[in-house]
Amino acid sequence: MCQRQKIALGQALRFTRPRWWERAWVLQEAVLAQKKEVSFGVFTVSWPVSKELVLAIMQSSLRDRESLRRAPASTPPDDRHRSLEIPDHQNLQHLVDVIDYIDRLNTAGCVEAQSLVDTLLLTKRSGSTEARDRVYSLLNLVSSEGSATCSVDYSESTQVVFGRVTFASISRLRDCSILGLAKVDAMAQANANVLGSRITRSWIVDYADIRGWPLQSTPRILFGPLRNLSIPGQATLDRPQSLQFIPNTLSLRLTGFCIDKVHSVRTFDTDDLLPVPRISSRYCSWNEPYRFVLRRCYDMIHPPSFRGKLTITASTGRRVSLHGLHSARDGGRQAVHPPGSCRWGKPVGGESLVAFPVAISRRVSLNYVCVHLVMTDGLKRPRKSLRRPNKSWRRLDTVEKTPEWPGV
Amino acid sequence: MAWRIKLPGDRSNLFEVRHFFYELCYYDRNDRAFEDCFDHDVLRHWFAYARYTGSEVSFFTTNSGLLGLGTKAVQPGDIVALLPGPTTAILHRDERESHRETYKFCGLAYLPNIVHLPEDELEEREFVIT
Repeated sequence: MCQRQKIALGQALRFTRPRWWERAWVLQEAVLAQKKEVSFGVFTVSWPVSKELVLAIMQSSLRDRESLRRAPASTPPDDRHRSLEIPDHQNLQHLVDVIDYIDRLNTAGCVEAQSLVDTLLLTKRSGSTEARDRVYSLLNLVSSEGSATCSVDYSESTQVVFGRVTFASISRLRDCSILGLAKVDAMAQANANVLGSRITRSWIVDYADIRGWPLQSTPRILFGPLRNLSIPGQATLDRPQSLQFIPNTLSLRLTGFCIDKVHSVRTFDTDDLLPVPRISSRYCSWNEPYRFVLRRCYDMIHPPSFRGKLTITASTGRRVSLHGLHSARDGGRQAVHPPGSCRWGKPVGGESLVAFPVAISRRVSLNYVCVHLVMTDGLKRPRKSLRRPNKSWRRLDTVEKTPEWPGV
Repeated sequence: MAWRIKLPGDRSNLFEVRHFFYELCYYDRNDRAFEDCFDHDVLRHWFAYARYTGSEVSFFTTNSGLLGLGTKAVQPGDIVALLPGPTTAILHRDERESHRETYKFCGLAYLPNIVHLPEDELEEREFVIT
């Protein structure tokens, strides 16, 4: 690959950089211009840019990435080489979506090409200082629907504009799944008045702060992090059709089915003070010759880090390592911590106690705790088969009860 | 010094979820297996959703014994509503406005056993969500 080709490839990749395509004016130029021609470096591509071309550029860049990295040090430093970062698959998908979008808008027969919300999500990272411009800059791209949704009017507040857009999506798709993009944090709701610019209404999506990506396939949720999650059995239900947006009170009036009331809720909180269940000291061993008795398993457990100390007696020249902590709930199979985590103990001298400070990330059931410990000769690392608990490990039922068990 | 026995990218929160689930099942004398209701995929999505909304995952049961996943904003007494589309939402009654019945949107909910609901017994209501 010669220098000229490398530079051209760098420019090509810069062209395909997704951040550039997320800007609103780029979309405007690409959609509204009469004659389109894309030039990057030595390439000039007339519109429509085919998706195959982009994919070919990407594939060739992936193929040549290693050869580019292995360029000799004598190569003069060139800024253009820095743009050779390879976009990941998601960004590539975004680029393909953008090109697809522009092509669909350019097609004469396709009047309602894309909804306003889809275009908003497409330009979600555009850096407009005025939040209303996120919507207003796109209105000419989706003129048929956009004019029905809202007109450019800077006397309206951001809340009203965003509310109209959210309602437009709901009424167009007959689908409330865009509410999955609304922030429901209780603190955010409480601080909404303090922040002022934040959206105060609970159902209105803040388009200045969205990260979701639409995927057009019913009966799945269309927006947000849940967009690939299939919802059980809800497509069959007949949904009521009454929908209304009340601009004065910024409220959404709709009919829905009331299923039930919430009876009880369980949340998990890191700062929660939790009752610690009774702990019995058990020991287990994967390795017949070495048996360990847990003298004191967890003497005190302090949330949120739940730290405790695990003490083992070891003899001279041995090396003890802790490989995992298991709750014995499901017949000992449930791993409280993923197996393979390893704490190396130093080789001990004499008959001494080896202490392992352990910490549990959050609350776990500690009724029965099995500890995966391996003791080996001094400097030797345990065999791999010993380091990983296999499925045939046995939990020994012999329990040595510690009389001076701390009052837990 | 506390050592945290955790691997990068561990899924221990999923195991904790299981614990809370069992606790909830115990209270409701409902002995369904965890995997029957929430498989790993659902929980993964739901953790992403809760993180997105700036909240945390919570389990809830309804008065009729349905189990569901929600966010931390869910409180006892909230209404589980089927809204247009594949959307199950939690609506919280807004007590500040006593002269009219308005609700606050408290996030989406995932109810795995909603398939078994008798369709004609559902109560149709009008909600004003502010």
